Amino acid sequence: MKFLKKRVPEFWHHKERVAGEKGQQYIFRSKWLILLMVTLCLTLIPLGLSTLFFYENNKKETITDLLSETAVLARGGAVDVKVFFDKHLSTLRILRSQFKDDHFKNKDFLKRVLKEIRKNDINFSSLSILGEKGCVVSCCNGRIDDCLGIDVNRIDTAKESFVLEISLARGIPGFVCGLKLETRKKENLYLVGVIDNFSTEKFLSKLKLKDVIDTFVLDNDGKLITESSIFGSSGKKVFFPKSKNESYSRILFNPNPEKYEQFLFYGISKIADTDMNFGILMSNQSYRIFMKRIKSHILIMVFLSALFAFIAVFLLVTWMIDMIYRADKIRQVYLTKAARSSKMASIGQLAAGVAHEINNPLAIINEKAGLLKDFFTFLDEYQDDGRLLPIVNSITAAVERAGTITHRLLGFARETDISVQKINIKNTIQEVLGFVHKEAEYKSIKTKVDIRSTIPEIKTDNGKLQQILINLVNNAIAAMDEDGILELKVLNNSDDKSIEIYVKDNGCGISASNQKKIFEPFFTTKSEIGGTGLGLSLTYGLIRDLHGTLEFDSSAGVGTTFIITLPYKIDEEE
Amino acid sequence: MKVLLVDDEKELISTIAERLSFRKIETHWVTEGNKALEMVREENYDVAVLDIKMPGISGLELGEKISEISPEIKIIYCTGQGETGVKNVSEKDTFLSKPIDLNLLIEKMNQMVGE
Repeated sequence: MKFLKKRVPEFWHHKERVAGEKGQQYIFRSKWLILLMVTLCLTLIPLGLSTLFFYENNKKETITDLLSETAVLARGGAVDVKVFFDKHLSTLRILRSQFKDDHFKNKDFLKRVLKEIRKNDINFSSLSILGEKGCVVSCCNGRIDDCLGIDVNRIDTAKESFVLEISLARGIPGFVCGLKLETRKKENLYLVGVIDNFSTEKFLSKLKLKDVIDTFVLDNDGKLITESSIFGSSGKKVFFPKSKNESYSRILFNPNPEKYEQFLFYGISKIADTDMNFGILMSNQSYRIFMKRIKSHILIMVFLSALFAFIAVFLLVTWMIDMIYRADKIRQVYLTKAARSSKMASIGQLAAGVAHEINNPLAIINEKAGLLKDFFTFLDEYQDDGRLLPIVNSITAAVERAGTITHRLLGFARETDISVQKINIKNTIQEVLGFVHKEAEYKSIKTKVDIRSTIPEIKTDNGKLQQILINLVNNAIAAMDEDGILELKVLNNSDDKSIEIYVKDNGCGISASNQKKIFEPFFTTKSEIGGTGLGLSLTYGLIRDLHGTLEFDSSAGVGTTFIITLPYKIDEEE
Repeated sequence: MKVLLVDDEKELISTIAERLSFRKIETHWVTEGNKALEMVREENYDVAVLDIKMPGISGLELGEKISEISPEIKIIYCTGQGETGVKNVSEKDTFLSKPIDLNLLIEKMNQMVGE
């Protein structure tokens, strides 16, 4: 907390009176807050939008990828189903090539053959010979009427073989493979095998690879031929968008929310040489895993970016407001200075005007008094009264005093000529201390002088600088009681173009109310002991003549420091 | 020594003139520049003491005109502004600041006439 307190910028505690009835307010704090909010919005909104766009784009791409994967799987599945049918048709072909037509009309023969081929993993549940009007002869592994469901009209007689879906006796869906027999009597006879339902299901379930949760076969109208765990039992019609492509994939939304996720992928592919289609349903698990990973990556990324953006904006805005605050403060200092110097200038003009106007009557008084004195000096008849001459003398003395004041006032107002020469500030200070030496000794005041060896010789008016220093040192001595310490220090200014002279005392200091007025002419706290109130205002004018500045720092009871800043050389063109 | 004083302050100039006459210096005074020029034409003065700031013709202008009429007149200018003491601008002219110290004025006049 202590660390934080140190870091709080200056403007944070700055209160200022604002117009209206609101009174004192933290104006910089509210500016800071507004700027911070606006900048944060400008930074974070684009970040959020681009993140959202990135996320949506990723989602779309993932779905596209998974859809094409589903389509590929569906096509592969359809090929597998075709191979499955071809395997059974091939068996029938071998039988046709090995035996004569008459053999097949023998039920016992068929039975034997069925038994043999079933041993070789060809799972026909029945074998039959199909004539134009239905079954000629058939035998089966199970029930006898397995082939009765075949609609003869559906067989394309132009083709050598066919694969059809049939409804088996108990409503169980099944597939039947048929092969045309070449008979001597040119009859249309087919060797037909009904594929064992169990083996079909077993085969279809073998195709449930990876995320495939369901496989099924449907006809061209979208009617289910095999059972589907999602769409229901066979015979049910499912939504089946027609497509020119042999295989395609889509998203299935909301299939069964209790059992499955909100959406699944399904792919449909045509089984070659049949009127059937193979379909698969894919879970969205891969999608979810991928999106979860993307989400966590994006979250970390966004969080870090937002954090950095916030820190950067926070620091930047704080720095900016602090700079504005500092600039404002400097501006106010300059305004105060400008106001003071213009005030001093107008006071100076006023004083000069008054002094000039008073000078004339003073001159008259002076001359009249002088004339009176002449009467007493040159004419015998006035010399008897000895009291009058001293009166005249005190009048001329008073006029002289008034004359000194008016001259000083005129000096304050007027830019007098300056004679610039190269001086060593150390010598000047020693000379000044020589003037005030007696006074300081009388009050037992110690004097400390600290002049940096790096101080160069400066070009200025030595006489005026002496007058300035004598005024300030005299003031310092007057402010101190016995055993005070007077310090004189000279430093280079940081701009390396000027020096700073510190005149420091540990005397009574200047009260806060007096601090504003000390440079004004006739302001004095020493009127009882003959102060005219012109010392500091004259000093101010003299320093201005030397192109310098005068500042001070004082607190009542602690002491006062006057700081004179003087340029290394006076720019005479100014 | 004959002196002409010119200043718009009648009270001042008359008093100075009276004081100078106590010191055996013949002094005339006027309060206007034109009258001063007339006086210079009529009589021969050794010194003219001129106030710089006067209504109408200024002290410096008047000084130039007087020099044209009779170049031998020494001129002392008085000014209300400036530091105490004397400031020589040219070899001939002398400046004195107000209020005028009478002894200083006499000293200057003697110096100039003596030269």
